[in-house]
Amino acid sequence: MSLRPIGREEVRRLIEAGAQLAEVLPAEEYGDEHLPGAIHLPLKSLGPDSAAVLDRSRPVIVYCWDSL
Amino acid sequence: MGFDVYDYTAGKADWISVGWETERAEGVPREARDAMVDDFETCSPDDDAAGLVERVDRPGSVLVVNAEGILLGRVGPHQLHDGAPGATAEEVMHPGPPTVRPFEPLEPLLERMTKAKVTEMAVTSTEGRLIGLVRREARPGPPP
Repeated sequence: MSLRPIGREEVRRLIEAGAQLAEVLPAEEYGDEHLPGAIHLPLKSLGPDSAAVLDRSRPVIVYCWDSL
Repeated sequence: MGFDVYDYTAGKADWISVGWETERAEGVPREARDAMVDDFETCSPDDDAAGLVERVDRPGSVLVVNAEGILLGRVGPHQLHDGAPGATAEEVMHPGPPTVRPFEPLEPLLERMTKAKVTEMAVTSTEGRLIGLVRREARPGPPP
């Protein structure tokens, strides 16, 4: 698995090309607001079971609140 | 896991800070971005400060932004009064004004502005780009 850092312009480009968005913040923060179409994939419970909702044929973009 | 995974490192804060669309729940507390206005004056750093007199005459001040839209400072009546003849906006401005991000909780912000007797607060992106202004007369209410 490769993990490549990207900026928001590339996020937009990848989404338009069919990428999946996944927010790793806790449920409350995800529920308050998230990027359009993002699914909730909390970091604490990330694993093969939780990742099963993802489509393996499409790239995945993960994001948190910020880089800190 | 066999995926191509990308990390949007700047995250949700970055996305919100440039005003891009999100899916937001109803009933969340209002933030600076819900009350900000765009009817304010700006100028370039190399603008002639003397030419700003009429624009600063109205309540408030003129915000100095560079070619990338980054907020550099403010020019108000005090700065014009103290500036030398022929000075530029950058030379007279009050540099590095306080700013908040669009997702700053609105009600506490307005309380702080009231206590500090601040009438306007610039709202900037995570890169420092000016995107709006919150005025103290903004009143929190039901979220949009």
